[in-house]
Order: sequence, then C-alpha cells, then structure tokens
Amino acid sequence: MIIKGISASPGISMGKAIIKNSQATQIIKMQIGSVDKEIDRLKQGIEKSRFEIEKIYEKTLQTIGEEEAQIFQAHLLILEDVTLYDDMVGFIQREAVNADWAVQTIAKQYITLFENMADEYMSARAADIKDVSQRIIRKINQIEEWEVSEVGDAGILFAEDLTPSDTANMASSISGFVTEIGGKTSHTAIIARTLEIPAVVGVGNMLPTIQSGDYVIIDGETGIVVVNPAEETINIYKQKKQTYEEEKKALTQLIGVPSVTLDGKKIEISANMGTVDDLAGVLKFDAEGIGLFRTEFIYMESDHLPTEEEQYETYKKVAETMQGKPVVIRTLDIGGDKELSYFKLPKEMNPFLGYRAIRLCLDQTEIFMTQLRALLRASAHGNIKIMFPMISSVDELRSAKVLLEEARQSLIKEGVAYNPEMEVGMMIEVPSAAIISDILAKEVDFFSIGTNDLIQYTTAVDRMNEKLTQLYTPYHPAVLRLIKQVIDNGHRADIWVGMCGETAGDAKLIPVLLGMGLDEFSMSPSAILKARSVVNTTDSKLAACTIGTLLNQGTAEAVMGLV
Amino acid sequence: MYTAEVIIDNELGIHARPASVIVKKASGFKSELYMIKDGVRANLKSIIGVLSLGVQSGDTVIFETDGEDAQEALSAMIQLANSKFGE
Repeated sequence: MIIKGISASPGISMGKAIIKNSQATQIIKMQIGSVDKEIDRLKQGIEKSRFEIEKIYEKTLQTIGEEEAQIFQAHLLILEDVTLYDDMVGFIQREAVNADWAVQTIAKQYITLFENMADEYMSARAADIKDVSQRIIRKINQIEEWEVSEVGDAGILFAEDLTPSDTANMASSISGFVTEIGGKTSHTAIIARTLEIPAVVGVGNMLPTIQSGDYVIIDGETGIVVVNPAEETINIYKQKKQTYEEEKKALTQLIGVPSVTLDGKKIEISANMGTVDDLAGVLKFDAEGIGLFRTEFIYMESDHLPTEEEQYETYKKVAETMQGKPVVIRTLDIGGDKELSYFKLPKEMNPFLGYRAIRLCLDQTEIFMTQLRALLRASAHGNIKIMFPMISSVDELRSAKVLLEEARQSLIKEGVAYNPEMEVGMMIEVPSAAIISDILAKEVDFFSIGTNDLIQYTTAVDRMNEKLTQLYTPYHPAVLRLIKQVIDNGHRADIWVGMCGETAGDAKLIPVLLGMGLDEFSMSPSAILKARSVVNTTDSKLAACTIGTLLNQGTAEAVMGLV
Repeated sequence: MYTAEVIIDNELGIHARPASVIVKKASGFKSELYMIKDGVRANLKSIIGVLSLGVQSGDTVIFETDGEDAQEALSAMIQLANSKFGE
C-alpha cells in the first residue's frame, strides 16, 4: 500500500510502525462519598503534572530550542490558573463527583469557549487547555505516559496528530513521523526538520489501515509512505537511503570550504532566516552570511507591535552571531497573506496586489520609524544591510530613504551609535521594478531578486493555487529574461545583485544564474551545501555562453530540457 | 467591597496583551478582584478568566474589589482601563 502525504522533513526511514492512538482516556462520572478526598486527588494530579511539565520544559529547552520550550511555560500558567482550579473544585463540591470528571467537564467548557472565539491566538489557548487537562486526568488516574522507548528504538511513529508534549518527548527515540493532519509548518514538521528526522504529514485517515509492527518506509522528500512493501521496493529504498546519506555526508565535507567557481569567481552563499532560532541551522550549514532576514516573524510571534528595544536586541544578536559576515535585513513585509492578530487590516479583494509591505510602512510611518531606528542602532554591532521589500516605483524607494534619513538624524541628535556606511538595498520582486532596474540601480547599494513573488507577478499565477502549480515556474523564459536584465542593470551601475527566493537554491538553475553573473545566492540553510557543491564545479564563463540560447527558448519545458 | 462601571475603549478590547497586563497588576494586591460582564464574573488574577469574558471595544464592565487594599486595587484597575492598558 502506498500513501501520498505532504513532505515535511527530508530523508528516508524504514522500520516498524508504532501507532499512537490519540483516543482520550474514557472518564466515567461517579458519585463520590468524600468531597475532600476528591479535591485532594485533584491537587495531587496538578502537582504531578507540574513536575512533569517542568521536566519537559527543561528537556525541550536543551534538545530543541527556547521558542518550542515556551509552549510549556504557557502550560504551567494554565495549570496554575485560579479560575480553572476554582471551577473544578466548585464542581466537585456542588455535584459530589470524581475529580477527573470535574477536570474534563470544566476544561471542555473553556475549550469550547476559546475555540468559538474565531481568533488564532484564542484557539491556540484551547489546544493548550486540552493538552494540560488531559495530563491532569492521566495523573489523577495514575495512567503512565505513553513511552516510545518501551517499543524499541528506530520505529516510525504514526498518529492522528501530535501535541507539542508528544513531539518533544518522543523526538529523540523515533526515526520518522507520520501524521494524519498537519501541513509543512505544523509543529511536528518544524521539530522534525530541526532534528533532521524524516517526516510526512497530512496523509489523511490512514490509521485504520495500518497496524503496530507493520513494516513501513517513509520518504520525507516526496511525501510517500509505503506500508508492507515488497522486497524489491525495500531494496530500491535501501539504495535511495544510502545515496541520500552518502550525498549528505559528502556535502558536510564542504563545510568551511569557500564557494568559488571553477574560473575563480567568489560567490556568496547565504541563508534565509525568520527567527533567532534559525541561527543554529545557519551556523551548522556554514552560511557565508544572511541574505534575507524576514523581520515579519518578530511581529507575528509577538502579541503587540515589537518595541524599538525588543527589535534592536534581536537584530543585534543576529549581527553579533554572524561575526562581521553580511546580514541583509528586510524591513517589515506584512499584509497579503501575513496577518498580525493585534493589528487588524481590512480584508481585500486582491491582498497580494494590495496594502502590504513597503506600501503599508510608508503609510504607517510610526511603525516603520520604530523599525528603522532599531536597525540603525543594531548596525553598530555588525555588518547589517537594510533592504526594502515590494518596491514598484522610484518614488517609493525615495520615500523610504527619506524616512531612513530621518531616523538617522534622530539618532545623531541623541548621540546614539550607528554605522554610517551601512548598505541600503531593495528587493526586485515586482516586474515594474525589474523593468526600470537601470534607474533604481543608481539609488541603492544592492538588489536582491525575490523570485517567489517575481514569478507570481510576472506570469499572473497565484503561487498558492494548487490548480496552477504547473504554470508557476522559474523556468519561464520571461522570468529568466527579467532576471538577466536586473543583473545586467545592477552591474552597469556597479552594485552587487543577489537572489533570495526559492529559485536561488535550485541546483539546476544555479549554473544558469552563475552564467548571468549573479553575485549572491540566499536560501534555506539546509540547501546551502548542495548549492556550494554546484558552484564549486561550475565554470561561470562557460555557463555565460549558453545564456543567449536559453533566453531564446519559447517554453519553460524547452528551457528545462537545456539545463 | 468597592465597584465601578467602566467602558473599555482600547482598540482591540481585552486581548492577549491587555489581559496579561491586568493579571500582573491584579496579582499585586491582597484583595479579591473581579471583572463582571453581562452578569459573568471573572477573577482578575486568572488569565483564563479574563480572556474568557471576551471583552471587546465598547463593552461596559464592572470592576469589583474586596479585601484590605480593595480601594487601591479598584483605582488601579480604573487607571489601567483609562490608559487603555498601555496600548
């Protein structure tokens, strides 16, 4: 049986299936004799839960990261919450029922209440209350935590979904994850990628068709799960696994090796990042800088507009960690599909063409100034470069630079340190900007081509629309022509040109981009070493000779045939 | 026991951040502090309680305090609401 899900973390794993049934413990309502005794059971359940959550917090902090660990801080707050506790005790006293029944009943009330608030933040609280209340119930009934290590190591875990507690607890003794629900950005997916364990999510209702102990193969790259495969299939995957691991091992030998083409051109291969937690991967895969720091995550993860001080600390930490290597920080890019819970924007007909990114910042200047001041202050601590997103005209660029100058003046007045030499650049992700890039190039220190949006806007293909995935391609000759034009215009004005979309990490296109003269490639950290292996085996002058032919192809398919 | 009726008029109502500001402040008092909306009472020392009221901008709520520092507690809550919870 072969099932296709969503690839969440690359790699191949094979072994015995371990099924985790997420059925909650059955609670039976009972009339009890001693109210005090039940309240005592409740107190003990809470106390034992506290001990356990604190342990998981410590473990998560050490093995996964601070951000993941914070979930358990929130769990502790819920565990200690006086409203929940008073309601539970009151219910036991009023109804003379067992403690676990009271926990379940009261938790259900609040879970429903929060789920119905139709607000992402509130529904997340509902999930937390569920996780915590189930733990208390388990402790009251002295049901031991489901332990993977008892089943034996190297199994592949199948579950409907995993709570943060589950994933954190089991990650170290599991060789792969498969969940029925969830997407690429689900909690399990993120942890699996951090720990480099293969994972497939969103496979749909498959638990009834699989049994504990079945032999399974999961391919985290293609999202394929094979249950009880034929011997032939096992051999094919064994081969694939070996190739994957050899390649991965070979790539690690490129750590510390500079990225230089065969004809001697030094290339910068940098990392894209969103939060401080990503720095671990950036360092591990030996990025030569940060080519794109998406600052919107600082805003999205906060429950208020981050203050200048909060932002300054974050930017400073990133700059210092990179020890003088370039750190390109993109100013706030919200709107479109990225929303903030505490800063509501009206719904739009065409959010991707709407009030977003630099357009919003030039209008909400207070928000923008806070960020610009924080960035300038942080520039004193490392090699920070600032980059404006979504520029579509010369006016927007000039307005943004005027505000940056204002921020600079205010710092000078206050005598605050900043780097007066800081480079200022812009993203090229709107076709109009690409077309007038010769004019824009005179007013910035660098370009970074944002292919994700550039492809979408140039070909009028919504990149989220599943019916159009065939049409969304960087191989479209129009996209490649625009990229070439931008690089040429940048070089004519003596500025460097980079790329920070998914395309920059496409191993097949890297030689083409080198041939066009691209100076910097920025990608997700795990793609860096592969990209370096391509750069170090490509002759950019030879590649340049093929560009003319490539750009004269009529179709994306024809281009793909040539690279 | 002291009570006061207040109109909540910060932009987002009592959301995550205002709620945690309230709980932090309320926990500093010895008195019992409550917020009442449409007859439902929430303990102001509990984040779940405060959030569960779902107070939106424009809602009228009653603050109720009881205990040795009840008067100070009440004026602190009124002050918080007037300052729009530091929004």
